[in-house]
Amino acid sequence: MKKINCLIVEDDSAFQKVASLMVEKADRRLNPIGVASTGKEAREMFNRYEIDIIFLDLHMPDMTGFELLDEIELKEDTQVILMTGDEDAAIKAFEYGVTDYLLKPFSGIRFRKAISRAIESIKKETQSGSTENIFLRKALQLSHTRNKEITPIPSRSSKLGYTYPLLSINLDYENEHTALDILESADREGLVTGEFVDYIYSCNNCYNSLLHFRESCPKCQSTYLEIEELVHHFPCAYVGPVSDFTKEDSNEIMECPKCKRILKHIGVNFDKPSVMYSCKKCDHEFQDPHIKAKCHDCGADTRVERLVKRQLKKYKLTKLGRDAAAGKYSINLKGFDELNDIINKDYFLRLLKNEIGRKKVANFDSTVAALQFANLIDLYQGIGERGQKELIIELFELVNQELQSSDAVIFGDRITMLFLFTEQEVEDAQKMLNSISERIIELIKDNFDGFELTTEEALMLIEEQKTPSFHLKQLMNSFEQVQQNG
Amino acid sequence: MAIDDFFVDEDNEGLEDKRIFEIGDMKFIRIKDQEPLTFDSLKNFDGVIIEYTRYTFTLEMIKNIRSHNEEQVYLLPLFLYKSYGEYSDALSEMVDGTLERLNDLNSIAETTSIIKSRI
Repeated sequence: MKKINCLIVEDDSAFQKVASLMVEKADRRLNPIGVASTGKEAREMFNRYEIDIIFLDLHMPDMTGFELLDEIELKEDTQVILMTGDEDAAIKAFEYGVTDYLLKPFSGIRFRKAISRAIESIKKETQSGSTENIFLRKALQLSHTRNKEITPIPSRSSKLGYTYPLLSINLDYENEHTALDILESADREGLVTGEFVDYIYSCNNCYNSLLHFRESCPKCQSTYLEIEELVHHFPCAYVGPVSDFTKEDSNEIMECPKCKRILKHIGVNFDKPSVMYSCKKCDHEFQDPHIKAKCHDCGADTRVERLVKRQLKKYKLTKLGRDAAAGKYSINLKGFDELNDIINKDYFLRLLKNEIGRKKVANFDSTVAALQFANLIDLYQGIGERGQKELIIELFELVNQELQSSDAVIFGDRITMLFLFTEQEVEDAQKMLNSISERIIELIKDNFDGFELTTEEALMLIEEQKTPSFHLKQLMNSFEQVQQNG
Repeated sequence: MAIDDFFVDEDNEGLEDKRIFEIGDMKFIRIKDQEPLTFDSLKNFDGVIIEYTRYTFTLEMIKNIRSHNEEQVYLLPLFLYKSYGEYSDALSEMVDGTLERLNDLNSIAETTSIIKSRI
């Protein structure tokens, strides 16, 4: 989900600080844009930024909160949370269609509830208007009005090798694979029911299904191989490649190199149980080649085990699906953009800013740390975009289980995890980080053919006189130094 | 001399240049698959007959209509017309019917009526 821009409109400086702090701590998606002390300032900030939530005090020096609402043009999905000591304004507030009404003084729980309600409303607005929801609604409408199932049709011009005529028509070639995500999501939401049609394998980098398959050397990955049949001579039990049995002067007669007897008929005194591969590049000889698939779209050359295997289904509308097609039910698909909440450096900087603020008024030590997986990129190349996404989510969930509730973790980028260990000295944080690092290495090794993950750690005590960006920069610099020295 | 000059297309005789077809109270527009078009103008019709010349052109025309953002356009019944030959499965599945003759449009009128009753 995108960031939610918040504006606090409050003339009391003490309450400004409290409200700002509560907003920052309430939800990682909230992005405080600023604080306005007067109606005029609020109006200017509202017109300058795309504000999603306004925390509005009713009494300001130059105008009331209601007058401000009269002056600005609220978008349909802008949420207003009124904060006031005036009990009598409640009815008027709801006439203005505010999301919530907080009577000062209010508790943190009540504040968080108001925010959850506002976020939920924004989510509904943005999700029902998202392209996935729009495309699905069109497909449901076409399916319903034509009394037709949403069926995949083989198509060599389609990225998946199949097309869903009622849905894929809205998608360009690059994004045709999202038809499967949309329909799976619709199935989970109970809008359609799917019936198995086929399996497809597609490139784990770009999802193209038009692939070129061939054997490759397990040692050097070259596809320049020579294949020779293996011969098993029954009487002397000699097994070797067919070239061991053929004589230079006669290709037709085969003689056993061990017992020198002539081989008669296949099945009588010899058979050909297998084949032998020899790599023309590195001379490695082997019987179990890797099977690789080359994508003719993006050029990725992947082992078949790592291709994306997906079920292709035909879909029938449910009662809910028919209602959605008729516009009686608002479509709200979930499961898109899951990484936005996991890879979010800005959120981490805000957490750090809060912790620095806390440290300024109390005497304790907290530690900030980063864990970088230097060769994770190599693994990512083999597992593709979808695999990367799943792995990042799995690592994030694993680490969250290990941490105490007061600590925090987030990915700064796809290979770096950022940690905040509240009220913990570096030594304690180091122990925790070591244990997390070991768990991750183990998980990767078990799930990716013994892949040896290399990790680098950086930790530092939070310094109250320094900025959040300074801390992050220090951590990242220490990785660069390690790499330069290494 | 083109090969078509040897044949008289009796089924479509006199209809070569006809653009608007009225069947009962329904109005259909016939468009060529390469024709520059204002898609909003299609809203005035109950259905569209797309004259097929090449796969890519027809696909593009269907895509433009079906991916339009207005319901009155993207839900329009679409029919493909060419006097002979087969269509690809994918193309046939994107439209509501195909026809080889323009002198009997009752079947597309019937299909259109069913679709409109479900919109």
